[in-house]
Amino acid sequence: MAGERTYRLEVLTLQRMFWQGDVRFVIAPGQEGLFEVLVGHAPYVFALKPGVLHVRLPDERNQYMAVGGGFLVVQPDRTSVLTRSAELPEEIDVARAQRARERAEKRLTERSEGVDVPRAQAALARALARLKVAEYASAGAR
Amino acid sequence: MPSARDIRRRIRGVRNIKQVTRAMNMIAAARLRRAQAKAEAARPYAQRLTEILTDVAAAGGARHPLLERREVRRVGLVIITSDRGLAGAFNANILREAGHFVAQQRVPTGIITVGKKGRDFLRARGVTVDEHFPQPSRDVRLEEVGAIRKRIIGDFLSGRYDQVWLAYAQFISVLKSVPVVIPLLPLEPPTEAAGAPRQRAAYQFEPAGDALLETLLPQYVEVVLYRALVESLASEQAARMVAMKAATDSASEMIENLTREYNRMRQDAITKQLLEVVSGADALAKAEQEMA
Repeated sequence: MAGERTYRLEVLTLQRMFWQGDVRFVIAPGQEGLFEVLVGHAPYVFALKPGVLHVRLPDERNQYMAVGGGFLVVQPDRTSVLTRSAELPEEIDVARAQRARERAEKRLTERSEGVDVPRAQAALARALARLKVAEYASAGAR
Repeated sequence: MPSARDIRRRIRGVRNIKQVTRAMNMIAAARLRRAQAKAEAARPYAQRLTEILTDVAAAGGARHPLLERREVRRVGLVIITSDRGLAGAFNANILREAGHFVAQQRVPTGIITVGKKGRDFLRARGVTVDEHFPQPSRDVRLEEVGAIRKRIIGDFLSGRYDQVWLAYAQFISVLKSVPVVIPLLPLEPPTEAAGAPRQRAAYQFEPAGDALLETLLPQYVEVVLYRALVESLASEQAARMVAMKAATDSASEMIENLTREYNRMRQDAITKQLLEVVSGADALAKAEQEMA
């Protein structure tokens, strides 16, 4: 496959094969920071945090997806994203994400007892990822 | 001896029941298809996640509290049943299997139930249920699975249970589901032999080693749970579909028999009336002859 400029990406959730196609590169939210996967990347397993999965398509268009944490696995024959939840920009309810963000932020600033902090943080991260995806997509990237 | 009218009433009653059972049969069939599709759809994800876990474990030195074997002083058993009945022996089969399991344990067993039928059965027998979860909706949403997962992992890590097992109805086919009890915690990383041979690569991990397990293992527990819940759902719908088919068939047979009985009674009544009319006429004719 020398000279190939794209590779195969699949995004899987427990519910379904969420997205698949050939891509030029992927920029993903790793637990230790953003990373990029180009063609011919060494076999790797990355843990993801909730965030934006940025995919560059063969025709140079961008595809953004909000992912809810999980893994990105680079295998010689394909690259897979395993995530608990994934959403395309058109599936995102911006108003709802906004409300979720406010709710989580309020919980985190008040820190009243009975607040599940890791859970609120995760909710906040997911809401921010959704908002970002919606924003990128509407910014005319496509 | 029931009157003809009683029989007519019974026929009507059975016919109504038959309509209900037939509708339930068709609904169960539709839900079964959806549950099967769900089980099918989860397979690639589950397989890939299992592969990662296998590779991480094969890379060696996998250490994590969820993998830790300790002396077993108390066992936890998660029993997955349904919230609803009318599914043939579905719940009874799982509960019997779970009962065998508990009887074999040499240490106390704590029970977590998923599904109302299991909880009600055990409570009626005076068994304490440590924790109960309603059966997840037919969509088997991740939040629902996550709540159960959290509790199980928490109970294992806190030392409340030193082992956790999972009892559910494994779906084989529409006509066959097998109640099984499988070990869940501590996790036994799948070995290479268990999976199909595949292309292996020397992976690097980020974050390295144990930190990755921190994310991976709870996810893996969730996948095992999710699959058990979906399979249990498919088994339940299949059992209900078969039970309702049988009920519909016996209702048809009952209607047939009752109709036959009703017709015979009607015939008898007609014959009797005819006889009465004829003999009455005969008697009249005789009397007239004698008078003449």
